Amino acid sequence: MTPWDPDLLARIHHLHLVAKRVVDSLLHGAHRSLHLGSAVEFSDYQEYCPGDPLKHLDWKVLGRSDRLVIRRFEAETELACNLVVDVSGDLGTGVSGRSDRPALDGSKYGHSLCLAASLAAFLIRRGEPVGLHVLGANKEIRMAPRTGKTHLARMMAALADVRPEGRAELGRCLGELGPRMRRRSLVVIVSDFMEEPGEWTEELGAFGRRGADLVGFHVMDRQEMTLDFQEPSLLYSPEGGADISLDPVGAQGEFLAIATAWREEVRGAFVRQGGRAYETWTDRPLQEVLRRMIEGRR
Amino acid sequence: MSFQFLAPALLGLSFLVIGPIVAHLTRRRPTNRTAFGAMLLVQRLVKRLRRRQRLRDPLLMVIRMLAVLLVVLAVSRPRLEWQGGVPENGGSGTVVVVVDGSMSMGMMDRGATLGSRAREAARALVEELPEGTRIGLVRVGTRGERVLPLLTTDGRAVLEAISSLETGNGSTDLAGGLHEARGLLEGAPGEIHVFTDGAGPTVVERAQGELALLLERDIAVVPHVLQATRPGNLSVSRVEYGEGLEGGTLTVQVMNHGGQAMEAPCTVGLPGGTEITVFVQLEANASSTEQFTVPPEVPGGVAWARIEDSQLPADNTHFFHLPRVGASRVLVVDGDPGTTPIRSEVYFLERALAPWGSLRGGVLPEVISPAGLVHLDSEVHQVVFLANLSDPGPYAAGLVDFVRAGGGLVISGGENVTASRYNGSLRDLLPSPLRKTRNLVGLDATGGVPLSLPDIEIPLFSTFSRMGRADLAKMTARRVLTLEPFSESEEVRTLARWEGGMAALVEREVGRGKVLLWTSTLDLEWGSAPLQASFMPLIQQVVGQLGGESRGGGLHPVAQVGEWVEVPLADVEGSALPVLTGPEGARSHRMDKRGVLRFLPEEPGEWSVAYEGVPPLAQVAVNISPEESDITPGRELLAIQAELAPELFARRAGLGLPALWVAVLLWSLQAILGRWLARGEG
Repeated sequence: MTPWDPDLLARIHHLHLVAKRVVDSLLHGAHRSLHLGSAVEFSDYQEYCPGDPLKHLDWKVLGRSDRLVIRRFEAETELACNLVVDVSGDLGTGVSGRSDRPALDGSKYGHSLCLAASLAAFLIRRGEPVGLHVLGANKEIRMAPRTGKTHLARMMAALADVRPEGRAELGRCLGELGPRMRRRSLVVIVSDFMEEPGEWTEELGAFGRRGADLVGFHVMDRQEMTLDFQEPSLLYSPEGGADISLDPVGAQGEFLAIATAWREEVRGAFVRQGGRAYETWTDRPLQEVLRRMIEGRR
Repeated sequence: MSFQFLAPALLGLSFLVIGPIVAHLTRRRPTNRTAFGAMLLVQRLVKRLRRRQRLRDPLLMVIRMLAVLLVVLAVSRPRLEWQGGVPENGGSGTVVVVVDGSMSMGMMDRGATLGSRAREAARALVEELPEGTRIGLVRVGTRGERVLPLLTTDGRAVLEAISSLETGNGSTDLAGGLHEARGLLEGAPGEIHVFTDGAGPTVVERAQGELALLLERDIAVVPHVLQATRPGNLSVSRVEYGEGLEGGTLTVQVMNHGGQAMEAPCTVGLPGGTEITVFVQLEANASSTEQFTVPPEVPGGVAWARIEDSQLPADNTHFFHLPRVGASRVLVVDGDPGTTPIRSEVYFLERALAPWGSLRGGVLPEVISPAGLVHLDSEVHQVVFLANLSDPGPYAAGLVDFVRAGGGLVISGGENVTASRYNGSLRDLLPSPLRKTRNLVGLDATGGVPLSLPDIEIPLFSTFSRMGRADLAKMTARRVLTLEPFSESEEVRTLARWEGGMAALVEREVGRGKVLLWTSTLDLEWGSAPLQASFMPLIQQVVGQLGGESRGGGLHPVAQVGEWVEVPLADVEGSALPVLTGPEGARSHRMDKRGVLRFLPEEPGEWSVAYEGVPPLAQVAVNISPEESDITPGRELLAIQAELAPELFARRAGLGLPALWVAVLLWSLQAILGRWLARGEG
């Protein structure tokens, strides 16, 4: 990456614009924050009972009024968010066609990046620390959760620079990430989940066991999911494997049944681990799915 | 049926069949390679479709190959040739109707016999013939016969003649019927309509020669085959008598000629009136063998075995000859009851005839006084021993009748036997008139003149061929009866002699019976024969030779309905003619100059030939032809005619156009099937 790559700069700018537009849209009319706050704050008093820890005894009240009271505090409400973004080779396909670096608009790849950037911008705007983990792309990007515009800019730059390459290997990557996540954090996975669910659903459990709030964004291309082709084609996966010759005429019905079952499998995998999954189509605005996700949390 | 190609060279185009194979192996694969992000789902789809694909590909390839082959076949102009139906040759104006009147046409079907249906069909045919058609009528039975001597244009007469036809018990001489029909046509073209059931494996086959002659003369034989809805027939095909428990065993073979398994009662009727019934289980088109135990004593004669079958009853009963079973009844006439056993012939004869008692032996001796001879009955008794009887005169006539009817008489010597009385009363029975008694040695001497070694070629001595022959020679005689000189002939012959040449045993045939004269005594008075070990078997042999069967030596031929039976009657004397009696009473017969009686039995059963008041000269067991009972259809008349004159019956059909149509259909089918089964795979 060269810092002055005009294409890269344009993409970073585009990500910023998309994120700003989405965040503005999400915040429009909102009156409550996503979380209660990040500080440890006093809540009220409680009469002392023998056995209560003495460190919580309010000595000032004892001095002033000769009463034994215990200070009570609000719980920790700051929630670190970890964005896990799948940029494997399969993300590079879709209506925009296969290219080295697909456009940010309309492609699964672009849709995933914009969704991750928008959510990151939204959370940082709300003061939450946000981390980034990129799967696939033949490179490892790991950014610990932090707050601040600088951190957001770094994340945007990193996202704008990745290309859809390699395999996501969801099972292996999620298995590595799970134990390293901070307890009670928000884990958002943006992916097409185009790997056998049996290979990665067990690994989602690691997040649940650490008390993480698990959210999955299932990115799908409508043409692919409806097998909307006319001519017989020799289909191949950018992630490797054998070519398959397919005549979509007549097979569409059966394919749709398989696709529906598979979507249900993905959703079920998240629900079983205590999380939620949101399907997001590349031809639909990002705000829709993000709003559903935020309202779902509330 | 044959198959040929009019343009066989075009079959070379068969190599085109490799087209679908090549297409299958190098089937079109899409050239545009497209990156697809949901390959996981495509893999699942392909997995699901793979089974269908495995079926589809070979199926489509085979259908396409068939279609190509059919096109090649179509252009090669295939042609099928087979033997067809009756050639149309009407208009000859001459028709001969041949109606089968054999036994099998008596089969009942839907309340009527096949014969009556054949007559109805024949009548219908005649009624439809144009006015002026010359018509002949032939009936087929054991032989073909013209019902009307010549062709006639009088349809009414033909109809009446057809109505008068009856179904008989004979076999099916189809060849004879066709021969008669050819005779009626006198070599001119015409049509012969045959109304038959075609039953019998070889009936039609045997007519092949006659069919060839007819076809040579452009005479078409048009069969009208009449068959029962459910053809079936049970018959007794064979009965054999053999050894077994009690009086022996009758083995009865019953045949089911129908296509349905049956159970039916099978009864055996023996000459004495005894009937034995068992139920027989018969599989379809199979035979079953049943065994019947014969009682210890049964008179010989014509017996029968019957299987119940209402569909074709004419051949239910099979008649056969049963030899007399059980003890031979022998009368021993005691002419001189002795004071001691050694002076009594009866003593020795009883022990020789029934050494283990009468029940277990083959002979049942009955000792009577001379007066008992008045009860002599040739139907009951087989052999009479006159043991030293002084005066046979009062019983001579009865004895002569008895012997002529087939009985056996043994006369032995003794002090009571006088030449004058015997020669006077029994001259018709004695081998030669008696002269006097003669001492060979002194009566008080201990020994005597032994018997010469007999000729074992004589049936009476056949069982003494080894050591027994020497034992026979131990018999000695001290005194014998002498005979007037006689010449040996077929009728009179000396069976054994004493050493020195005196006759010991002389035989004479009288009528159907025999007389044996033993010139010594059957006790120890004149000789030592009863003391020898060979005495008992010799007496048993004598009884066997003289009375082995009841009714003497009458003839027991077997015959079939419709076949001439010849009975030689050598002893026909005078002008009296024997009477022929069939199952339904007296029948006419012919006698030729040689004394051979000929008759044509028309019904199965017992037929007998006899002079008034005497036992039958011959008993004939007459049965239906076994082939007639077999209702299995033989070859078809048309098939044989088609073989003989294929050009008359050949039918041809071109298969090119149908093959082309089938090819088009197959091609359309594979297109639809391929489309339907593909549903997605490339």
